[in-house]
Amino acid sequence: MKQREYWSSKLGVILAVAGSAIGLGNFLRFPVKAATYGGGAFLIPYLIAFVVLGIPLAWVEWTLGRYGGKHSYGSAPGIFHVVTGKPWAKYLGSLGVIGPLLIYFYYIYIESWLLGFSWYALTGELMSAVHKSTVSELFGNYITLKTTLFEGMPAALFFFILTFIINFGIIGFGIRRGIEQINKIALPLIFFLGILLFIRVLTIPGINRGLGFMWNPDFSSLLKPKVWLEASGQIFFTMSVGIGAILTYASYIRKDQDVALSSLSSCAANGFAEVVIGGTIIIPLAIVLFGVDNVEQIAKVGTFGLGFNTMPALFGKMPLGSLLQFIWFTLLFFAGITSSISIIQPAVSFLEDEVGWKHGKSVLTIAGLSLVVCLVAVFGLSGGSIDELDFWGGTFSLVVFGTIEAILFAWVLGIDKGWEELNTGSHIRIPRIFRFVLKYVTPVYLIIILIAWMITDGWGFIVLKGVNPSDTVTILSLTIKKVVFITSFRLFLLALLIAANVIIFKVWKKRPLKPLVK
Amino acid sequence: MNETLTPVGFTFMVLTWTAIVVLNFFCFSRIFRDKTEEIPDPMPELDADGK
Repeated sequence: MKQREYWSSKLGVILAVAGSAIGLGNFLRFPVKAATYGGGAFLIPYLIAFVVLGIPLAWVEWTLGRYGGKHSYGSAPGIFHVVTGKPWAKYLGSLGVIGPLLIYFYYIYIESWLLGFSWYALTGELMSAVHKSTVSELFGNYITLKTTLFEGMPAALFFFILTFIINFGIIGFGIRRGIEQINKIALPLIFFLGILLFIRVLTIPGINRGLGFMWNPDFSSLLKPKVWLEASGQIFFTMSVGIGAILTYASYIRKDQDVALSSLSSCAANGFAEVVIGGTIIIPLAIVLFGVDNVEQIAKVGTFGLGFNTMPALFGKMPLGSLLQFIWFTLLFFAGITSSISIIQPAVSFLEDEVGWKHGKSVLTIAGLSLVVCLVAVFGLSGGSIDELDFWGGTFSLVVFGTIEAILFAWVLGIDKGWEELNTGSHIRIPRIFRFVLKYVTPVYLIIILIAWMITDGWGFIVLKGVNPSDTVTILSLTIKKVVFITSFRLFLLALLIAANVIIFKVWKKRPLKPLVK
Repeated sequence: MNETLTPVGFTFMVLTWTAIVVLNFFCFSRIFRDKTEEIPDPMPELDADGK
Protein backbone atom coordinates (compact mmCIF):
# COMPACT_ATOMS: atom_id res chain seq x y z
CA MET A 1 0.00 0.00 0.00
CA LYS A 2 1.42 3.30 -0.99
CA GLN A 3 0.79 6.74 0.50
CA ARG A 4 0.49 9.40 -2.22
CA GLU A 5 2.56 12.54 -2.11
CA TYR A 6 1.11 16.01 -1.46
CA TRP A 7 2.41 19.43 -2.43
CA SER A 8 4.28 20.89 0.52
CA SER A 9 2.42 24.22 0.37
CA LYS A 10 -0.42 26.02 -1.33
CA LEU A 11 2.03 28.34 -3.08
CA GLY A 12 3.92 25.30 -4.36
CA VAL A 13 0.98 23.95 -6.35
CA ILE A 14 0.02 27.42 -7.61
CA LEU A 15 3.54 27.97 -8.92
CA ALA A 16 3.61 24.51 -10.46
CA VAL A 17 0.33 25.08 -12.32
CA ALA A 18 1.43 28.58 -13.34
CA GLY A 19 4.72 27.06 -14.48
CA SER A 20 2.80 24.55 -16.53
CA ALA A 21 0.81 27.32 -18.19
CA ILE A 22 3.65 29.79 -18.72
CA GLY A 23 5.53 28.48 -21.70
CA LEU A 24 6.75 29.46 -25.12
CA GLY A 25 3.24 30.50 -26.18
CA ASN A 26 3.22 33.37 -23.70
CA PHE A 27 6.30 35.02 -25.14
CA LEU A 28 6.10 34.00 -28.80
CA ARG A 29 2.59 33.00 -29.82
CA PHE A 30 0.50 35.61 -28.02
CA PRO A 31 2.26 38.75 -29.34
CA VAL A 32 2.13 37.46 -32.92
CA LYS A 33 -1.58 36.63 -32.64
CA ALA A 34 -2.42 39.97 -31.02
CA ALA A 35 -0.46 41.99 -33.58
CA THR A 36 -1.95 40.00 -36.48
CA TYR A 37 -5.56 40.01 -35.31
CA GLY A 38 -6.46 43.56 -34.41
CA GLY A 39 -3.84 44.82 -31.96
CA GLY A 40 -5.52 46.15 -28.82
CA ALA A 41 -8.93 45.03 -30.13
CA PHE A 42 -7.72 41.40 -29.96
CA LEU A 43 -7.75 41.79 -26.21
CA ILE A 44 -11.56 42.08 -26.22
CA PRO A 45 -12.28 38.51 -27.42
CA TYR A 46 -9.17 37.36 -25.57
CA LEU A 47 -10.37 38.66 -22.20
CA ILE A 48 -13.92 37.39 -22.84
CA ALA A 49 -12.50 33.93 -23.56
CA PHE A 50 -10.31 34.25 -20.45
CA VAL A 51 -13.42 34.76 -18.29
CA VAL A 52 -15.90 32.34 -19.88
CA LEU A 53 -13.52 29.65 -21.08
CA GLY A 54 -10.11 29.79 -19.42
CA ILE A 55 -10.98 30.46 -15.78
CA PRO A 56 -14.04 28.10 -15.69
CA LEU A 57 -12.14 25.27 -17.37
CA ALA A 58 -9.23 25.73 -14.96
CA TRP A 59 -11.71 25.51 -12.06
CA VAL A 60 -13.16 22.34 -13.58
CA GLU A 61 -9.72 20.71 -13.84
CA TRP A 62 -8.64 21.70 -10.33
CA THR A 63 -11.94 20.47 -8.87
CA LEU A 64 -11.96 17.16 -10.73
CA GLY A 65 -8.27 16.63 -9.93
CA ARG A 66 -8.69 17.19 -6.21
CA TYR A 67 -11.73 14.90 -6.17
CA GLY A 68 -9.77 12.16 -7.93
CA GLY A 69 -6.85 12.60 -5.54
CA LYS A 70 -9.16 11.82 -2.61
CA HIS A 71 -9.50 8.36 -4.14
CA SER A 72 -5.78 8.13 -4.92
CA TYR A 73 -6.29 8.67 -8.64
CA GLY A 74 -3.80 10.94 -10.37
CA SER A 75 -4.73 10.85 -14.02
CA ALA A 76 -7.80 11.34 -16.17
CA PRO A 77 -9.00 7.71 -16.54
CA GLY A 78 -9.34 7.13 -12.79
CA ILE A 79 -10.49 10.66 -12.08
CA PHE A 80 -13.22 10.58 -14.75
CA HIS A 81 -14.52 7.22 -13.52
CA VAL A 82 -14.59 8.13 -9.85
CA VAL A 83 -16.03 11.60 -10.43
CA THR A 84 -18.84 10.54 -12.73
CA GLY A 85 -19.43 7.04 -11.41
CA LYS A 86 -19.68 5.93 -15.05
CA PRO A 87 -17.33 3.10 -16.07
CA TRP A 88 -17.18 4.31 -19.71
CA ALA A 89 -15.77 7.66 -18.61
CA LYS A 90 -12.37 6.11 -17.86
CA TYR A 91 -11.82 5.40 -21.58
CA LEU A 92 -12.41 9.06 -22.42
CA GLY A 93 -9.72 9.79 -19.84
CA SER A 94 -7.10 8.03 -21.95
CA LEU A 95 -6.87 11.25 -23.98
CA GLY A 96 -5.66 13.00 -20.83
CA VAL A 97 -2.71 10.60 -20.63
CA ILE A 98 -1.75 10.17 -24.30
CA GLY A 99 -2.53 13.76 -25.38
CA PRO A 100 0.06 15.42 -23.11
CA LEU A 101 2.57 12.70 -23.95
CA LEU A 102 2.23 13.53 -27.66
CA ILE A 103 2.91 17.19 -26.87
CA TYR A 104 5.91 16.17 -24.80
CA PHE A 105 7.41 14.14 -27.65
CA TYR A 106 8.08 17.31 -29.66
CA TYR A 107 8.02 20.01 -26.98
CA ILE A 108 11.16 18.69 -25.34
CA TYR A 109 13.04 18.88 -28.64
CA ILE A 110 12.09 22.55 -29.04
CA GLU A 111 12.97 23.11 -25.38
CA SER A 112 16.41 21.67 -26.05
CA TRP A 113 16.92 24.21 -28.88
CA LEU A 114 16.53 26.90 -26.23
CA LEU A 115 19.24 25.34 -24.10
CA GLY A 116 21.46 25.09 -27.16
CA PHE A 117 20.89 28.72 -28.11
CA SER A 118 21.50 29.84 -24.49
CA TRP A 119 24.87 28.12 -24.88
CA TYR A 120 25.54 29.85 -28.22
CA ALA A 121 24.59 33.21 -26.65
CA LEU A 122 26.97 32.56 -23.77
CA THR A 123 29.87 31.58 -26.01
CA GLY A 124 29.29 34.56 -28.34
CA GLU A 125 28.65 32.29 -31.33
CA LEU A 126 25.16 33.71 -31.71
CA MET A 127 26.47 37.27 -31.69
CA SER A 128 29.00 36.40 -34.32
CA ALA A 129 26.19 34.92 -36.46
CA VAL A 130 24.25 38.16 -36.00
CA HIS A 131 27.23 40.19 -37.27
CA LYS A 132 27.55 37.91 -40.29
CA SER A 133 23.74 37.88 -40.79
CA THR A 134 23.73 34.10 -40.62
CA VAL A 135 21.40 33.52 -37.65
CA SER A 136 18.78 31.75 -39.76
CA GLU A 137 21.53 29.57 -41.24
CA LEU A 138 22.79 28.72 -37.74
CA PHE A 139 19.25 27.85 -36.68
CA GLY A 140 18.53 25.81 -39.82
CA ASN A 141 21.75 23.82 -39.52
CA TYR A 142 21.15 23.30 -35.82
CA ILE A 143 17.67 21.81 -36.09
CA THR A 144 18.58 19.63 -39.06
CA LEU A 145 21.47 18.15 -37.02
CA LYS A 146 24.19 19.60 -39.28
CA THR A 147 25.90 21.62 -36.53
CA THR A 148 28.27 19.50 -34.47
CA LEU A 149 29.60 20.02 -30.97
CA PHE A 150 31.94 17.42 -29.48
CA GLU A 151 33.56 14.66 -31.48
CA GLY A 152 31.22 15.28 -34.38
CA MET A 153 28.09 14.77 -32.29
CA PRO A 154 25.19 16.89 -33.58
CA ALA A 155 24.75 19.82 -31.19
CA ALA A 156 20.98 19.47 -31.32
CA LEU A 157 21.24 15.83 -30.24
CA PHE A 158 23.61 16.68 -27.37
CA PHE A 159 21.34 19.40 -25.98
CA PHE A 160 18.30 17.21 -26.53
CA ILE A 161 19.78 14.40 -24.43
CA LEU A 162 20.84 16.90 -21.76
CA THR A 163 17.35 18.43 -21.64
CA PHE A 164 15.84 14.95 -21.55
CA ILE A 165 17.99 13.97 -18.55
CA ILE A 166 17.11 17.21 -16.73
CA ASN A 167 13.39 16.63 -17.31
CA PHE A 168 13.31 13.06 -16.12
CA GLY A 169 15.72 13.88 -13.29
CA ILE A 170 13.18 16.38 -11.94
CA ILE A 171 10.28 13.94 -12.41
CA GLY A 172 12.34 11.24 -10.71
CA PHE A 173 12.56 13.33 -7.55
CA GLY A 174 8.77 13.31 -7.33
CA ILE A 175 6.13 15.93 -6.74
CA ARG A 176 7.43 17.90 -3.78
CA ARG A 177 11.19 17.37 -4.09
CA GLY A 178 11.30 17.57 -7.86
CA ILE A 179 8.45 19.42 -9.54
CA GLU A 180 7.62 21.75 -6.65
CA GLN A 181 11.24 22.67 -5.96
CA ILE A 182 12.10 23.45 -9.58
CA ASN A 183 8.98 25.61 -9.94
CA LYS A 184 9.84 27.52 -6.77
CA ILE A 185 13.13 28.47 -8.42
CA ALA A 186 12.08 28.75 -12.05
CA LEU A 187 8.93 30.86 -11.69
CA PRO A 188 10.57 33.77 -9.80
CA LEU A 189 13.46 33.54 -12.27
CA ILE A 190 11.10 33.69 -15.28
CA PHE A 191 9.38 36.77 -13.85
CA PHE A 192 12.69 38.41 -12.91
CA LEU A 193 14.23 37.87 -16.37
CA GLY A 194 10.96 38.79 -18.08
CA ILE A 195 10.67 42.04 -16.16
CA LEU A 196 14.32 42.85 -16.95
CA LEU A 197 13.60 42.51 -20.68
CA PHE A 198 10.27 44.35 -20.25
CA ILE A 199 12.06 47.35 -18.70
CA ARG A 200 14.83 47.25 -21.28
CA VAL A 201 12.37 47.25 -24.18
CA LEU A 202 10.25 50.04 -22.71
CA THR A 203 13.31 52.27 -22.39
CA ILE A 204 14.30 52.01 -26.08
CA PRO A 205 13.93 55.32 -27.95
CA GLY A 206 10.91 55.15 -30.27
CA ILE A 207 9.17 52.30 -28.42
CA ASN A 208 5.98 54.35 -28.80
CA ARG A 209 5.75 53.09 -32.40
CA GLY A 210 6.17 49.49 -31.31
CA LEU A 211 3.55 49.78 -28.61
CA GLY A 212 1.27 51.56 -31.08
CA PHE A 213 1.47 48.62 -33.48
CA MET A 214 0.78 46.18 -30.67
CA TRP A 215 -1.96 48.05 -28.86
CA ASN A 216 -3.77 50.52 -31.16
CA PRO A 217 -7.12 48.80 -31.63
CA ASP A 218 -8.50 47.92 -35.04
CA PHE A 219 -12.17 47.54 -34.11
CA SER A 220 -13.16 46.32 -37.58
CA SER A 221 -11.30 43.08 -36.78
CA LEU A 222 -13.95 42.24 -34.18
CA LEU A 223 -16.39 41.54 -37.00
CA LYS A 224 -14.20 38.69 -38.26
CA PRO A 225 -15.02 35.23 -36.76
CA LYS A 226 -11.38 34.20 -37.26
CA VAL A 227 -10.28 36.80 -34.69
CA TRP A 228 -12.62 35.32 -32.06
CA LEU A 229 -11.49 31.80 -32.90
CA GLU A 230 -7.82 32.74 -32.62
CA ALA A 231 -8.36 34.59 -29.32
CA SER A 232 -10.20 31.59 -27.85
CA GLY A 233 -7.54 29.23 -29.16
CA GLN A 234 -4.83 31.32 -27.58
CA ILE A 235 -6.56 31.14 -24.19
CA PHE A 236 -6.73 27.38 -24.55
CA PHE A 237 -3.05 27.00 -25.43
CA THR A 238 -1.76 29.44 -22.86
CA MET A 239 -3.63 28.30 -19.78
CA SER A 240 -2.68 24.63 -20.01
CA VAL A 241 -6.35 23.65 -19.93
CA GLY A 242 -7.59 20.61 -21.83
CA ILE A 243 -4.26 18.82 -21.50
CA GLY A 244 -4.71 16.83 -18.33
CA ALA A 245 -1.72 18.37 -16.56
CA ILE A 246 -3.73 20.51 -14.13
CA LEU A 247 -5.96 17.53 -13.41
CA THR A 248 -2.90 15.54 -12.33
CA TYR A 249 -1.26 18.36 -10.37
CA ALA A 250 -4.52 19.06 -8.52
CA SER A 251 -4.79 15.40 -7.50
CA TYR A 252 -1.79 15.96 -5.22
CA ILE A 253 -3.46 18.61 -3.06
CA ARG A 254 -5.19 17.85 0.23
CA LYS A 255 -8.88 16.98 0.11
CA ASP A 256 -9.98 20.14 1.96
CA GLN A 257 -7.53 22.55 0.33
CA ASP A 258 -8.84 25.53 -1.63
CA VAL A 259 -9.01 25.16 -5.41
CA ALA A 260 -10.98 28.26 -6.41
CA LEU A 261 -8.44 30.89 -5.36
CA SER A 262 -5.43 28.74 -6.20
CA SER A 263 -6.71 28.18 -9.73
CA LEU A 264 -7.51 31.87 -10.21
CA SER A 265 -4.03 32.80 -8.95
CA SER A 266 -2.35 30.56 -11.51
CA CYS A 267 -4.52 32.04 -14.27
CA ALA A 268 -3.62 35.56 -13.11
CA ALA A 269 0.11 34.82 -13.02
CA ASN A 270 -0.09 33.35 -16.51
CA GLY A 271 -2.01 36.42 -17.74
CA PHE A 272 0.70 38.70 -16.35
CA ALA A 273 3.48 36.75 -18.06
CA GLU A 274 1.58 36.70 -21.35
CA VAL A 275 -0.12 40.06 -21.74
CA VAL A 276 2.14 42.37 -19.74
CA ILE A 277 5.58 40.81 -20.33
CA GLY A 278 5.07 38.74 -23.50
CA GLY A 279 3.04 41.45 -25.22
CA THR A 280 5.71 44.05 -24.62
CA ILE A 281 8.90 42.34 -25.73
CA ILE A 282 8.90 40.72 -29.13
CA ILE A 283 6.60 42.69 -31.46
CA PRO A 284 7.24 46.23 -30.11
CA LEU A 285 10.98 45.57 -30.26
CA ALA A 286 10.77 44.18 -33.79
CA ILE A 287 8.79 47.20 -34.95
CA VAL A 288 11.25 49.69 -33.46
CA LEU A 289 14.39 48.01 -34.78
CA PHE A 290 13.16 46.56 -38.09
CA GLY A 291 10.47 49.12 -38.94
CA VAL A 292 6.75 48.84 -39.50
CA ASP A 293 7.19 48.12 -43.22
CA ASN A 294 8.84 44.79 -42.45
CA VAL A 295 6.29 43.75 -39.87
CA GLU A 296 4.28 41.48 -42.15
CA GLN A 297 7.42 39.56 -43.02
CA ILE A 298 8.32 39.47 -39.33
CA ALA A 299 4.93 38.02 -38.43
CA LYS A 300 5.02 35.55 -41.34
CA VAL A 301 8.21 33.84 -40.20
CA GLY A 302 6.11 32.26 -37.46
CA THR A 303 6.77 31.84 -33.79
CA PHE A 304 9.97 29.79 -34.10
CA GLY A 305 11.41 32.12 -36.69
CA LEU A 306 10.63 35.03 -34.41
CA GLY A 307 12.07 33.42 -31.33
CA PHE A 308 15.20 31.90 -32.82
CA ASN A 309 16.04 34.20 -35.76
CA THR A 310 14.48 37.60 -35.22
CA MET A 311 15.03 38.00 -31.49
CA PRO A 312 18.77 37.19 -31.46
CA ALA A 313 19.19 39.64 -34.35
CA LEU A 314 17.20 42.31 -32.50
CA PHE A 315 19.09 41.89 -29.25
CA GLY A 316 22.32 41.78 -31.22
CA LYS A 317 21.69 45.34 -32.36
CA MET A 318 21.49 46.55 -28.76
CA PRO A 319 24.26 47.22 -26.23
CA LEU A 320 25.07 44.11 -24.18
CA GLY A 321 23.47 42.09 -26.96
CA SER A 322 25.01 38.76 -25.95
CA LEU A 323 23.70 39.14 -22.42
CA LEU A 324 20.20 40.01 -23.66
CA GLN A 325 20.25 37.00 -25.99
CA PHE A 326 21.29 34.80 -23.09
CA ILE A 327 18.53 36.21 -20.85
CA TRP A 328 15.97 35.65 -23.64
CA PHE A 329 16.84 32.00 -24.25
CA THR A 330 17.29 31.21 -20.56
CA LEU A 331 13.88 32.74 -19.82
CA LEU A 332 12.31 30.63 -22.55
CA PHE A 333 14.17 27.50 -21.47
CA PHE A 334 12.89 27.77 -17.90
CA ALA A 335 9.40 28.56 -19.19
CA GLY A 336 9.71 25.44 -21.34
CA ILE A 337 10.97 23.12 -18.64
CA THR A 338 8.23 24.00 -16.14
CA SER A 339 5.71 23.19 -18.87
CA SER A 340 7.34 20.01 -20.13
CA ILE A 341 7.57 18.36 -16.72
CA SER A 342 3.86 19.03 -16.22
CA ILE A 343 2.96 17.18 -19.40
CA ILE A 344 4.96 14.05 -18.55
CA GLN A 345 3.46 13.77 -15.08
CA PRO A 346 -0.03 12.55 -16.16
CA ALA A 347 1.52 9.47 -17.80
CA VAL A 348 3.78 8.84 -14.79
CA SER A 349 0.83 9.24 -12.40
CA PHE A 350 -1.23 6.89 -14.57
CA LEU A 351 1.34 4.11 -14.20
CA GLU A 352 1.79 4.79 -10.48
CA ASP A 353 -1.77 5.38 -9.34
CA GLU A 354 -3.86 3.44 -11.82
CA VAL A 355 -1.53 0.61 -12.82
CA GLY A 356 0.09 0.45 -9.38
CA TRP A 357 3.76 0.56 -10.39
CA LYS A 358 6.47 2.07 -8.22
CA HIS A 359 7.60 5.61 -8.97
CA GLY A 360 11.02 4.66 -10.34
CA LYS A 361 9.63 2.01 -12.68
CA SER A 362 6.93 4.40 -13.92
CA VAL A 363 9.44 7.19 -14.60
CA LEU A 364 11.87 4.85 -16.40
CA THR A 365 9.11 3.37 -18.55
CA ILE A 366 7.84 6.77 -19.67
CA ALA A 367 11.44 7.94 -20.18
CA GLY A 368 12.19 4.94 -22.40
CA LEU A 369 9.02 5.38 -24.46
CA SER A 370 9.64 9.13 -24.76
CA LEU A 371 13.23 8.66 -25.87
CA VAL A 372 12.22 6.36 -28.71
CA VAL A 373 9.37 8.55 -29.99
CA CYS A 374 11.34 11.78 -29.46
CA LEU A 375 14.17 10.42 -31.60
CA VAL A 376 11.65 9.47 -34.31
CA ALA A 377 10.35 13.06 -34.08
CA VAL A 378 13.88 14.49 -34.21
CA PHE A 379 14.94 12.48 -37.25
CA GLY A 380 11.52 12.71 -38.88
CA LEU A 381 11.32 16.50 -38.63
CA SER A 382 11.47 16.92 -42.41
CA GLY A 383 8.71 14.33 -42.78
CA GLY A 384 6.35 16.42 -40.66
CA SER A 385 6.57 14.39 -37.43
CA ILE A 386 6.46 17.49 -35.24
CA ASP A 387 3.49 18.93 -37.16
CA GLU A 388 1.66 15.63 -36.62
CA LEU A 389 2.38 15.56 -32.88
CA ASP A 390 1.41 19.23 -32.57
CA PHE A 391 -1.86 18.64 -34.40
CA TRP A 392 -2.99 15.48 -32.60
CA GLY A 393 -1.56 16.25 -29.15
CA GLY A 394 -1.36 20.02 -29.04
CA THR A 395 -4.55 20.94 -30.86
CA PHE A 396 -7.05 18.15 -31.54
CA SER A 397 -6.73 16.32 -28.24
CA LEU A 398 -6.66 19.61 -26.32
CA VAL A 399 -9.97 20.91 -27.61
CA VAL A 400 -11.71 17.52 -27.51
CA PHE A 401 -10.47 16.74 -23.99
CA GLY A 402 -11.42 20.21 -22.73
CA THR A 403 -14.92 19.77 -24.15
CA ILE A 404 -15.23 16.34 -22.51
CA GLU A 405 -14.15 17.76 -19.14
CA ALA A 406 -16.62 20.64 -19.30
CA ILE A 407 -19.50 18.29 -20.19
CA LEU A 408 -18.58 15.68 -17.56
CA PHE A 409 -18.37 18.36 -14.86
CA ALA A 410 -21.57 20.24 -15.63
CA TRP A 411 -23.79 17.52 -17.08
CA VAL A 412 -22.62 14.09 -15.92
CA LEU A 413 -21.40 14.90 -12.42
CA GLY A 414 -24.04 17.63 -12.43
CA ILE A 415 -23.64 21.33 -11.85
CA ASP A 416 -25.02 21.18 -8.28
CA LYS A 417 -22.48 18.63 -7.12
CA GLY A 418 -19.72 20.17 -9.20
CA TRP A 419 -20.40 23.64 -7.81
CA GLU A 420 -20.44 22.29 -4.25
CA GLU A 421 -17.15 20.48 -4.83
CA LEU A 422 -15.55 23.58 -6.37
CA ASN A 423 -16.56 25.68 -3.36
CA THR A 424 -15.38 23.18 -0.75
CA GLY A 425 -12.56 24.82 1.21
CA SER A 426 -12.72 27.84 -1.09
CA HIS A 427 -10.93 31.00 0.03
CA ILE A 428 -12.98 33.20 -2.28
CA ARG A 429 -16.67 33.52 -3.03
CA ILE A 430 -17.19 32.67 -6.67
CA PRO A 431 -20.03 34.77 -8.18
CA ARG A 432 -23.09 32.60 -8.86
CA ILE A 433 -23.15 33.71 -12.47
CA PHE A 434 -20.34 31.21 -12.99
CA ARG A 435 -22.77 28.37 -12.28
CA PHE A 436 -24.57 29.40 -15.44
CA VAL A 437 -21.27 29.92 -17.29
CA LEU A 438 -19.99 26.47 -16.27
CA LYS A 439 -23.24 24.74 -17.17
CA TYR A 440 -24.07 26.40 -20.48
CA VAL A 441 -21.58 28.95 -21.77
CA THR A 442 -18.30 27.03 -21.44
CA PRO A 443 -19.50 23.73 -22.99
CA VAL A 444 -21.35 25.49 -25.84
CA TYR A 445 -18.39 27.81 -26.45
CA LEU A 446 -16.09 24.79 -26.63
CA ILE A 447 -18.32 22.88 -29.03
CA ILE A 448 -18.49 25.95 -31.30
CA ILE A 449 -14.68 26.28 -31.23
CA LEU A 450 -14.29 22.59 -32.01
CA ILE A 451 -16.64 22.72 -35.01
CA ALA A 452 -15.26 26.03 -36.31
CA TRP A 453 -11.69 24.82 -35.97
CA MET A 454 -12.45 21.55 -37.77
CA ILE A 455 -13.99 23.49 -40.65
CA THR A 456 -11.24 26.10 -40.95
CA ASP A 457 -8.06 24.12 -40.23
CA GLY A 458 -8.59 20.66 -38.77
CA TRP A 459 -10.17 18.72 -41.61
CA GLY A 460 -7.66 19.94 -44.19
CA PHE A 461 -4.81 18.68 -42.04
CA ILE A 462 -6.46 15.32 -41.39
CA VAL A 463 -6.93 14.61 -45.11
CA LEU A 464 -3.35 15.73 -45.85
CA LYS A 465 -4.40 18.73 -47.89
CA GLY A 466 -1.28 20.38 -49.25
CA VAL A 467 0.85 17.21 -49.17
CA ASN A 468 1.90 16.26 -52.67
CA PRO A 469 1.54 12.45 -53.15
CA SER A 470 4.89 12.36 -54.95
CA ASP A 471 6.79 14.15 -52.13
CA THR A 472 9.50 12.07 -50.53
CA VAL A 473 11.42 12.42 -47.26
CA THR A 474 14.81 11.06 -46.28
CA ILE A 475 15.05 9.81 -42.69
CA LEU A 476 18.39 8.34 -41.62
CA SER A 477 19.36 7.74 -45.26
CA LEU A 478 16.05 5.96 -45.95
CA THR A 479 13.94 7.67 -48.60
CA ILE A 480 10.20 7.11 -48.45
CA LYS A 481 7.05 8.87 -49.62
CA LYS A 482 5.93 11.59 -47.23
CA VAL A 483 2.36 10.29 -47.32
CA VAL A 484 3.59 6.84 -46.25
CA PHE A 485 5.66 8.34 -43.43
CA ILE A 486 2.78 10.46 -42.10
CA THR A 487 0.29 7.58 -42.33
CA SER A 488 2.66 5.20 -40.53
CA PHE A 489 3.32 7.81 -37.86
CA ARG A 490 -0.42 8.33 -37.37
CA LEU A 491 -0.98 4.59 -37.05
CA PHE A 492 1.73 4.49 -34.39
CA LEU A 493 0.03 7.30 -32.44
CA LEU A 494 -3.28 5.48 -32.75
CA ALA A 495 -1.60 2.31 -31.45
CA LEU A 496 -0.43 4.26 -28.38
CA LEU A 497 -3.99 5.37 -27.67
CA ILE A 498 -5.31 1.83 -28.12
CA ALA A 499 -2.56 0.47 -25.83
CA ALA A 500 -3.54 2.96 -23.11
CA ASN A 501 -7.16 1.81 -23.36
CA VAL A 502 -6.18 -1.86 -23.20
CA ILE A 503 -4.15 -1.15 -20.04
CA ILE A 504 -7.13 0.71 -18.54
CA PHE A 505 -9.41 -2.23 -19.36
CA LYS A 506 -7.04 -4.77 -17.79
CA VAL A 507 -6.28 -2.69 -14.67
CA TRP A 508 -9.96 -2.06 -13.94
CA LYS A 509 -10.75 -5.73 -14.44
CA LYS A 510 -8.42 -6.50 -11.52
CA ARG A 511 -9.43 -3.59 -9.28
CA PRO A 512 -12.66 -1.82 -10.26
CA LEU A 513 -12.56 1.38 -8.19
CA LYS A 514 -10.52 2.67 -5.27
CA PRO A 515 -12.16 3.73 -2.02
CA LEU A 516 -11.98 7.21 -0.52
CA VAL A 517 -8.72 7.99 1.28
CA LYS A 518 -9.34 8.78 4.94
CA MET B 1 -1.92 50.66 -37.15
CA ASN B 2 1.19 52.25 -38.65
CA GLU B 3 1.46 54.99 -36.10
CA THR B 4 2.63 55.76 -32.61
CA LEU B 5 0.55 54.76 -29.61
CA THR B 6 -2.76 56.62 -29.86
CA PRO B 7 -4.77 57.73 -26.78
CA VAL B 8 -7.21 54.85 -27.42
CA GLY B 9 -4.35 52.36 -27.74
CA PHE B 10 -2.73 53.74 -24.62
CA THR B 11 -6.04 53.43 -22.74
CA PHE B 12 -6.42 49.83 -23.93
CA MET B 13 -2.92 48.96 -22.85
CA VAL B 14 -3.16 50.62 -19.45
CA LEU B 15 -6.62 49.21 -18.70
CA THR B 16 -5.57 45.68 -19.64
CA TRP B 17 -2.35 45.84 -17.65
CA THR B 18 -4.21 47.32 -14.68
CA ALA B 19 -6.89 44.62 -14.78
CA ILE B 20 -4.25 41.89 -14.79
CA VAL B 21 -2.13 43.47 -12.08
CA VAL B 22 -5.22 44.02 -9.88
CA LEU B 23 -6.27 40.38 -10.37
CA ASN B 24 -2.77 39.25 -9.39
CA PHE B 25 -2.79 41.52 -6.35
CA PHE B 26 -6.23 40.26 -5.33
CA CYS B 27 -5.15 36.62 -5.57
CA PHE B 28 -1.63 36.69 -4.21
CA SER B 29 -2.39 39.07 -1.32
CA ARG B 30 -4.86 36.44 -0.10
CA ILE B 31 -2.47 33.58 -0.73
CA PHE B 32 0.34 35.21 1.25
CA ARG B 33 -2.02 36.46 3.99
CA ASP B 34 -3.12 32.92 4.80
CA LYS B 35 -0.57 31.35 7.07
CA THR B 36 -0.83 27.83 5.78
CA GLU B 37 1.26 25.26 7.52
CA GLU B 38 3.82 23.20 5.65
CA ILE B 39 2.23 19.88 4.86
CA PRO B 40 4.40 17.12 6.34
CA ASP B 41 6.00 14.48 4.20
CA PRO B 42 3.77 11.51 3.49
CA MET B 43 4.41 8.30 5.33
CA PRO B 44 7.07 6.07 3.81
CA GLU B 45 5.93 3.28 1.59
CA LEU B 46 4.61 0.28 3.48
CA ASP B 47 5.20 -3.29 2.52
CA ALA B 48 2.51 -5.92 2.10
CA ASP B 49 2.46 -6.60 5.85
CA GLY B 50 1.90 -2.95 6.61
CA LYS B 51 5.36 -2.56 8.15
